[in-house]
This record gives sequence, structure tokens and C-alpha cells, in this order.
Amino acid sequence: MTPLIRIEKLELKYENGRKTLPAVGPLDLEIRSGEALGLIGESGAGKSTLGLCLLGLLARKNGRITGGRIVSALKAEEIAYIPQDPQASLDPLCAIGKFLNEICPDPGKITEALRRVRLTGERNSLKSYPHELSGGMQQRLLIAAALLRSPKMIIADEPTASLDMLLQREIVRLFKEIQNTGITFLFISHNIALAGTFCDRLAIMKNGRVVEVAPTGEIFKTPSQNYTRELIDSTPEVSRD
Amino acid sequence: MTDRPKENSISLIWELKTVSCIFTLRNGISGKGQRLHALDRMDLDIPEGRALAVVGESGSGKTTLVKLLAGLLRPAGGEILFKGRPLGRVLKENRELFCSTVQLIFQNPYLSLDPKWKIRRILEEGIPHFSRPARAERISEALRLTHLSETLLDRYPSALSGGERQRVALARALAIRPKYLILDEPTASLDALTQKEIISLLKNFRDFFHEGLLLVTHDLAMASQIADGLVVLRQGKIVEQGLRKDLLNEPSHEYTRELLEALPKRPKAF
Repeated sequence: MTPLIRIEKLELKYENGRKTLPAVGPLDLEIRSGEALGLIGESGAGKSTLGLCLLGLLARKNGRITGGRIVSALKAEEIAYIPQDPQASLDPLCAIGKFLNEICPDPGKITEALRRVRLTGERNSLKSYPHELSGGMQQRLLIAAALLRSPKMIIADEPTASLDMLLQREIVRLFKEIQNTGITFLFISHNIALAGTFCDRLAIMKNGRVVEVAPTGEIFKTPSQNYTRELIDSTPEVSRD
Repeated sequence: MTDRPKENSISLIWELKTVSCIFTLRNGISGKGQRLHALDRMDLDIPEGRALAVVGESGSGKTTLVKLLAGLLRPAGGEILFKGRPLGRVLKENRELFCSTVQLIFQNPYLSLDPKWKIRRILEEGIPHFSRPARAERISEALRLTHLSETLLDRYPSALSGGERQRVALARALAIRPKYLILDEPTASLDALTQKEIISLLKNFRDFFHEGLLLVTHDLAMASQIADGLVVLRQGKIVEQGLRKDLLNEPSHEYTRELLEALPKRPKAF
């Protein structure tokens, strides 16, 4: 697979008054065309910061690139973003139809995007408001919104963190279907087990650096870092004793 | 609902008898109300000194159940007994005693700690009537149990990570030495490593105090790590309950099997 984005010795910092806080780097990473790459690590590892940087939104959070570079074959508008908390991401006063229409005024495309995420039927009419949808439906709405941008790549930042296990599984299956149409995924998550069910490769982040990148099977079979092993072991398994 | 054989001679802390809870959802200010049965004629016995987990998907009524048990909601129908007496009467006559017996840990540690209070004040909140040395001893014990440093006492919650905040919430409850802990999705907003740490702390709590807890979660794996008994809730009704071992090895309800299957499996070695 050809690289879609190549990150070379990237360093990102946040500015807080006079203080400069290192957030990411130096970091090297390659995102290949058509793959699902999982960016895995604990809170504060720098996963979302890197995601914001790829979206060109870092400056909004007082962050800036202080070293290295990103070589991208994509324009900014070809990357779509799916945030963690659908409730906080949707305007409670804006009906679904209006929300989607602001992204793409073509009713045909809206219908198609809603069909792809299986948000059809009377209950999900375009006149509905976000509070009338369940958490899973809200998340699927945000996926539909991402698809309306006809992206070549989707960055999903902890897209299942606020969902229960059944909905997590449903969203990941949906991502797989979308990936099969040729869209590249950067799946940001702290849940290595969930990422393992979907991603082709996993990049493990710790303290702003990528400590290990490998195909998913390899990561689970022979992790090269103790930290990766720790992440794998942190997934609770069903105790049947 | 599938009931498994109950153990004999267990004293109960809560008894729910055909308890219902109904919410009215309005469509706009003057819109017509739609009735939602969050809990539907539920019968449930919660024993003292045991760890019980209530599992189910979002909207199954788990948090409503927590609020009813804590007296934060009143049932629309049925009766809740606390140690054999109506919960409403217990709260009216001796709320303080109830609060020193039962403590709650909420899902989001970013919202459950007062941002204007230092950690010391937060931990002292539940034990105001104790002498200063007694308070210091309780706080020191709670910090030790939750693996927190005393240096945090003079900090504000904003200076703490999510995991530290949740451990402070747990320490606040433990300082009271409650007989029963209720935890509503205590790890939902935390990363996997911090989740593992909180699970280990909850096991310590049981080993140290030998008291009971009620864990509400959508994560059946996490529930199985902590609880002796499981209650599976769906659309406000119990579909299955029993001992962990029985229920997980031989789930009798299709929904329980579905919850088990939904757990992410580690990929097999390639």
C-alpha cells in the first residue's frame, strides 16, 4: 500500500501562557492508503493532538508544530473527523436534516449517506432533533456527516468511548464496511482489544511518541514493548470461575 | 426473566417489590408527553456484604435503578425496602445514617468533584463530625487504599488526571467506611490502564472492608472481575440473574449471550 500521509520527526507543543508543553514527538509514522490504522495509548499520550494536527486544527487549541514535517497526498477537505462524544458534537437546537444540509445541500447524497449508516425509517426522519436519537444513532449520524464530505480518509477519535458494548460492536462493523469501499481510517482509541477487531495495523503511543507500529496480529502475538503488553493485559477478560 | 436458585439465610440490604419508574418525555415545551418505563415492575433482592453487578446496554434502566436505591428518585409504583423498612421513611427519619451506610461513585469524575474545593476538603466532606486526628486517620487510610499520595491534599481537582480524580471520588466514599458502595459506570470515562487500576482498587476495598458493593456497568467482563452475582437488565426488566459463575458459563437468555459475544476478543495469534 502506498503512503497517504508520511509524518517525519514531527514535534508538537502546546503553549500555556509563558509555558510551552511538549505534547508529541519526535514522531515518525506512515498512514497507508486504504488501511485502518489504530492509534493506541492511554490518556495524555498525544493521540488526539496528533489527530488534530492532521486535521489542521491544532492552532485552535494553542498548539503548534515545532519540528519535523507532514507529507500528505490529501487536501484538508479530504479528511473527515468523527468525534468522541456525539451529544457534545451535535447542536441540540438543530434538526438532523438542517445539520446534514449545511454539510451537503444535495438531498440525494444525504439519503445515500443515511442509508449507508442504516439511519432510515420514520423514527430517524430529517425533522428529528439529536435528543430524540439514542447514543448509537447519534454516533451513526456523525458518521453519515463524515461520509457526506466524500472523504478519502476518516479520523475517528475515540468514537465508541461513550457507547455500550453492543453499540461499540455495531459502530466498528460499520467502519469496516466503510473501509472496504476504499476509505482510509485513523482509529484513535485507548481500547487495544476493540481496535484489534478492526484495524490492520496498530501504532502504540506513549508520552507523545510512537513506541511500536506493526500489523495487528503481530502486536498481539509478539509485542516488542512492555507497554504494549501492559495495554493488551489491561483489557478485562470475562472471569467465569 | 430467568431466576436461578437463591442462597438461603442471606440478610438483605435492599428489597425491590414490583418497582416501576416512569419518565415523561416532552416534545418541546408544550408538546405531548410520551411515557417511558425506565423500570418496569422490578423485583430484586440485594444482599448485604456481597458484590453484585447490574449489566445491560444504554437505556436499560441501570442508572435509574441506582438513583432509586440511593433515594434520589421515587418509584412510580411498588416499594423499596432498606434493611426491612421502607426507604422513604428511612431517608426521612435518618438520612445521615443512610448516607454513612451507603456511598455512591458516579461515572464522570470531572463532574462529581467540586472544582473549587481542594482535595482535603473534598475528602473531609463526609466526616465533618469527627475530631481532627480521627479525620486525618480516616483520610490517610482512604488515600492508602486508593494509592494516592498525601501531596495531592492541597491540590484542586483540575490538577489531577481522570484516574486520580476517580480515585479521589473513591477515597471520599471510603473515608466514611460505608457498608455498601454503589458505583455507576465508574470506569466509563477512563482509559484501559486506569480502568484496570480502578478494578484492582475495588477488589482491595472488598478484601479490606468485607463490605458489599453494587456495580452498574455495560461491560460484562469488568463486572465478572468484581462481582459475585450478576443481574442482566434490558428495557427496564431483569432478563436473567444469578451467581457469576453459573450465569457466565451457562447463560440462559439470548440477550446475555449477545452481551458476552459483543465483548471484543483479542485477535488470535496469526
